[in-house]
Amino acid sequence: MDKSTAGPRVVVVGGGATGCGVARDLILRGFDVTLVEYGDLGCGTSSRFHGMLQSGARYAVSDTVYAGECMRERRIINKLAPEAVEETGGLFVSLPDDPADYGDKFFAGCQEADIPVRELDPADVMASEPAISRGVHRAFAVPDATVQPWRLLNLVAADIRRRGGRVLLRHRVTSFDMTGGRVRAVEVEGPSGSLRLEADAVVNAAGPWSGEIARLLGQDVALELTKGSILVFAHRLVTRAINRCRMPSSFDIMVPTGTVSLFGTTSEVVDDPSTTLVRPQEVQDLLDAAEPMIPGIRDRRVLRAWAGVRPIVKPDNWPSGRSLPRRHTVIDHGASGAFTICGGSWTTHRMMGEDAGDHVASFFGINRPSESATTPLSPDGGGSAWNPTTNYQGVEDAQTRKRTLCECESIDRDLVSQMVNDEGLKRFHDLRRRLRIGFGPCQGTFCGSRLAGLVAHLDQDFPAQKELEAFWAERLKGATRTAWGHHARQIILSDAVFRENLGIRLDDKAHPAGDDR
Amino acid sequence: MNYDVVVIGTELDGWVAAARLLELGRSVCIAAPGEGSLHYAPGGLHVLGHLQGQPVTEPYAGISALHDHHPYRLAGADRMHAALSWFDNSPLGAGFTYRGGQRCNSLAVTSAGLQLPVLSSCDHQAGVEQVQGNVMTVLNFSGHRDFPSGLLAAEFIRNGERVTAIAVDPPGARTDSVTIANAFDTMDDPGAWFGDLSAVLPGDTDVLLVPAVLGSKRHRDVIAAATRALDCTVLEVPTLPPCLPGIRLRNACERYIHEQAGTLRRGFRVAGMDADQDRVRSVTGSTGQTIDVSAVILATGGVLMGGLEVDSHGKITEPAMGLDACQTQPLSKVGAEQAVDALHRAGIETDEDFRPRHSGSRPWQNLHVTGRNLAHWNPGAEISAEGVAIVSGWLAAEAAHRELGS
Amino acid sequence: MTTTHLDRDSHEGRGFSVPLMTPAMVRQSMDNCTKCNVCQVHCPVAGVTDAFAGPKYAGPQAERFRIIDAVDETAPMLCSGCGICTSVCPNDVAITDIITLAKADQVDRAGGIGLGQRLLNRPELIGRLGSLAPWLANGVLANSLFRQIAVAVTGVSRDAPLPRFAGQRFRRWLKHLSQREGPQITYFSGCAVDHYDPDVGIAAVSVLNSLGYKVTVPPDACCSLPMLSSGDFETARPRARKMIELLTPSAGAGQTIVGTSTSCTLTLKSKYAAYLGFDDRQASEVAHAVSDICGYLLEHHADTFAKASARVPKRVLYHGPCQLRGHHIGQPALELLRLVPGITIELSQASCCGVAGTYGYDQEKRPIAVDVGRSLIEQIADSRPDLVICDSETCRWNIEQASGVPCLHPIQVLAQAMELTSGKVFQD
Ligand SMILES: Cc1cc2nc3c(=O)[nH]c(=O)nc-3n(C[C@H](O)[C@H](O)[C@H](O)COP(=O)(O)OP(=O)(O)OC[C@H]3O[C@@H](n4cnc5c(N)ncnc54)[C@H](O)[C@@H]3O)c2cc1C
Ligand code: SF4
Ligand code: SF4
Repeated sequence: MDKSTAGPRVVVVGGGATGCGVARDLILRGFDVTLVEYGDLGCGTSSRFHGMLQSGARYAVSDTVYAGECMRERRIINKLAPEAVEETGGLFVSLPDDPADYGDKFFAGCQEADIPVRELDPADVMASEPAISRGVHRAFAVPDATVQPWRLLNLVAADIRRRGGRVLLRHRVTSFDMTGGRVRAVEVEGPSGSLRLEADAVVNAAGPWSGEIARLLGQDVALELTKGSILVFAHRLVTRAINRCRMPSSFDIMVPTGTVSLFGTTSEVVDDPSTTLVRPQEVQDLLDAAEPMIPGIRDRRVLRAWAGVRPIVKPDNWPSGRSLPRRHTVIDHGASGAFTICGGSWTTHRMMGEDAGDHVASFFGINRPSESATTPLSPDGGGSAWNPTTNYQGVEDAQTRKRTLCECESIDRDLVSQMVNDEGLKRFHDLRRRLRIGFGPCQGTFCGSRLAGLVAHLDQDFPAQKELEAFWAERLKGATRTAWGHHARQIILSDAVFRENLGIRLDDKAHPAGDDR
Repeated sequence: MNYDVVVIGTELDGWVAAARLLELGRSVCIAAPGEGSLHYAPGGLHVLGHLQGQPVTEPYAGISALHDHHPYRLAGADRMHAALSWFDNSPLGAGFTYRGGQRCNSLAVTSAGLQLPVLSSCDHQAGVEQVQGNVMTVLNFSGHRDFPSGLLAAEFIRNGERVTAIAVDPPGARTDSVTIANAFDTMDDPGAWFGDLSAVLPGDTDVLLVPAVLGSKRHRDVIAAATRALDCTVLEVPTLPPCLPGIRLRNACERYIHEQAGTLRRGFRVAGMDADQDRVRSVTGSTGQTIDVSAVILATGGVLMGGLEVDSHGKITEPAMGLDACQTQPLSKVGAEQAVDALHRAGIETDEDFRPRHSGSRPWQNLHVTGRNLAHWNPGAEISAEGVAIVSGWLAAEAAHRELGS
Repeated sequence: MTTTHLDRDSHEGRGFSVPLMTPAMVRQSMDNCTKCNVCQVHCPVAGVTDAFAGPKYAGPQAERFRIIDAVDETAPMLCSGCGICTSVCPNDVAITDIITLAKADQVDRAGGIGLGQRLLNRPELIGRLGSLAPWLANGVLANSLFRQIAVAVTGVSRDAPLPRFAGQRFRRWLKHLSQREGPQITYFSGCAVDHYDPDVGIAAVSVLNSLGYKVTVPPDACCSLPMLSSGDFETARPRARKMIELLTPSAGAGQTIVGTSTSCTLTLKSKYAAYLGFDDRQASEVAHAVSDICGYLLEHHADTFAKASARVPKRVLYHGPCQLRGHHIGQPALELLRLVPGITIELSQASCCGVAGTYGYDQEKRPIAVDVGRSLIEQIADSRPDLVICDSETCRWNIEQASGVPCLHPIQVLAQAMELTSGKVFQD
């Protein structure tokens, strides 16, 4: 299986959706691939997003070509990794404020983009979605879906490893050796010091940090960084992804994903690619904007707010004020063997990988077409469709109710031990992301110390105490953005458990970012 | 129906106020929609454990560094001492002992292997002084998820202590704190159960640390039996909520109230009041029932227990009596520590008798506010929950009693 | 001069002033849960067996999954519906109701409930059979062989405290009662009084008469609670509607409807809305008119009892039934009994006697019910009171059977304190 000596050596920078898509495409074409990721897979924008595997209907009017691409990719991803996709379906609803003529244009656009669309009786829609406005006057069903980001990224990474590629997590690219104007090597820094990775080419897939990586390559890439903030509601308020039937803009989608639902997003241009701060005013704006769609939204519990940063390459001479194109861009940095790929979306990440793969292949004069759309992701051809009730059903079937370590998300203690023992994962954020520990209403109040107890039990030398402190600080950071109603009580209960019972300190200075980034 | 005093809420401050008033011969009705935060309390009397992030040795000496309107500043050191001494000598505080002397904190061991300064606690609760330097065994019950013994052991080992962690099947095949405690409460011969345990206990054990689940009624007998059977010191460490040490205290409070023929209107949610100028005359429940009163003590537990409500605009209100809440900092503070601090410090401002303002500078004559409802303190940062509850509850009771006259 | 903070509505001072909770509101209350575990501490069933994971798990926690997709679960099935969890929850989670709704879903999925539960669900049917020939029914049920056969066929526990049929004694007594004119009040007797416990009804009507009320008793009185709490909503629905219609004339005329069965009154007050979604005007008028009899007496006649009670030199143990908690009024019977001179009251340390309606009759659940009730029975055995007093009928039957000490409704003691002899109260 080891093909590492087969083809030219390519280092892909960034382990988000884009980097994973690129790395997989390249390894399927026979390249010797190393993926370098600063933190954990998907710790950047690829987990700070809205969770949707878009049918493309959202862009049916504004960008029909892109809409068609989304639909095509959405079908492919679902076939490649059904275990990471939930077929929730999506709805576009016209509310009194939405333009009356959009519905017809929308319907036509969907048909043109080959997106299966069906108009529904508004009365039926309102009956089956009790939380939404009673003012729906038109409604369309489209095949929107949601994706579990970490599940899919880990499948991709496993496939890359299986095929002889390397995935270096917790390694930061610090510089490039470009002797003679060509990529020679990539310098990276990891937990056990620095490493030099010999390379014939580099693909910069560092998302919002692509500008920084480009600078290290001696290149100037003009990025517009747009931050989007999202509110996480405590349970599924809706059964399908609900979109407003109007030109895509901010504040118009409620997505059921995992056990929660996400409403978003705001949109504001930022300078810092690492910013994850949600301003109080954004929270208010989100609530105001959600009210017409979900009346009484301010009485619903919100678990936290988060923000992700969208990296979009600004085309030359783009008229100011016009929203930037959704489609991605591949920049070929001349004869150096360096490429930057940026923009696009989670939904189209495979196609982006294919596009970058085409560029890299042609750079080396290799004429091998992409196989990423047709090669199954897992050796057994993919698992079964998944939804969050699977966790609960599993506990009910096995009657292991009092063994759940994270009660809100119904996560069995043995699952955690397995991951610690088999995959050597001990960092709480890594476990959290893979298993959803601490994602539920209590936001780590109870599962945090149980996790610490278990990990410390399995490895006495692991600094579980410090991890617990950081874990709590990170959970609180998002949760305190939405400290009202019963969630305010939750936060104080959490404080009572951590400080007044466990004796843990809470110190903003000790955990400035409180996260991996 | 009428009562001298209606105490609203079953927080520790409410129990203390009710107990004191009954002791003073007043008729008391406790009205509370749900149960209180003692279910979360790790036991022990935390008066002032931390100041500006540093551990405090002498809580009374530390109060001058607190905010002017901190409940302890309103009380003053002497009245504080009177209240805490009363608690100490009352049936509620039975079993609490001072380890650092009357005025000094000692350090309690937490299940995360950390230390919490505490003024007094039950003699069977693990303190740093009793365990340090001894050969320790940490016991966990297999399947019991609320006691992170691995963390406790690892932390002790890191500090150079000699610790072994063992796990045994819980009695009665029960796996949560409450059911294990029930099993110990109803066990025929706890001594025999611990006798069996000695087979797996490392022989050189000086101190056995157990999760604080050895019963909710008979725990003293159980611990005594364990000590005899194992011939070593047996100390409890509090678990995650539900926390038996807090629940035992709650049970003691309830028992005392019943014995003194106090009335408990459980489920009664006060939703309003009728007042005659600055005097409350009756309170009304959400079901429309009214209770005529001569005085009211509002012990509804602040943000934690719904005594204060926060809306999505970040505004804090007091829902039962409609009192004004004071917010010194906006809740939208950036940074978890600051945001939590703002939530804690919001609350009702009162005079020295814990009476909130009625109009202008004049206070309500017969309405008192206690515990977590009060502004300008932070139990999480100060480690002071029980202290403030007892001091404000007791002083509110004293003031109400004075006000009622003879 | 007077400040009032409460938003009073048209039902001021009478019944719930908060809007009725419908199934949607019940479910939405799951969001209030902070996972604090208070309910887990107090749930009597979870306290004695790990087979039931407890209110938090079966209630708000599982509900987040249930609303996503159908699940096959047994989590809700061992809940007794006692309501204690809801009453102790500091965060207003309608735990019991969430669990009961989930039970109904599972019952639906399983295609209905078993024969035994169906039989228990129709107390008035057993009652009517029994009243035709009480001697037959009593003879039959006292015969353990027949009980065994009944168990095999129906799933009703052979040790369950089945009451003795009393025929239509209460109704017959009522027919011969002549009442003076006075303010009108309605008395909802419930099937227990109609068929098994006529003395409670007689005491209730006598007390109300002596306080000057003219009492109306509606002809039919089964609220269908057993069906609701076992999840058989569809059978209950038309019967509940009929019951509302039957009570509408009283409620519409502004009368209070008092009842001696805490669980029946609770059903009328809030469960029709919570389980069946009845929140229309008619239903809420009835709901708001209903009151527990002791709650009503405490609110309006505490003075009379304080001044005019005769000595009742008895040592009694008062057990407030679990279902009383759903009324949000504390334990009014206890407050009233304390006004009676001569009486010595010991309080039950238990929150539930175990039987919780019809739960303790099911043979599968009977052992759990016995475990739950053990501490109460032991307390009674230790303190040997003259009487046990409890507001709820199935609890009384259970306690009497298990402890051997006579168990009365508080209204019977209050009747004695008022020296009313028309109802047979208790032997000195
Ligand atoms: C609010 C929001 C909502 C969205 N919703 C959707 C949606 O619903 N559906 C959809 O399809 N798309 C959505 N998108 C778009 C989608 O999330 C992004 O297009 C996609 O995740 C970008 O992935 P990426 O791999 O390019 O960037 P990232 O995920 O940010 O990955 C870049 C990676 O590079 C790493 N890195 C950075 N610097 C270095 C270095 N020096 N060395 C090593 N590694 C480095 C980072 O750690 C990071 O993991 C949304 C975007 C936002 C902001
Ligand atoms: S008592 Fe209420 S808030 Fe606490 S765990 Fe139970 S349901 Fe949740
Ligand atoms: S209703 Fe009673 S038995 Fe059911 S979960 Fe609640 S407390 Fe437990």
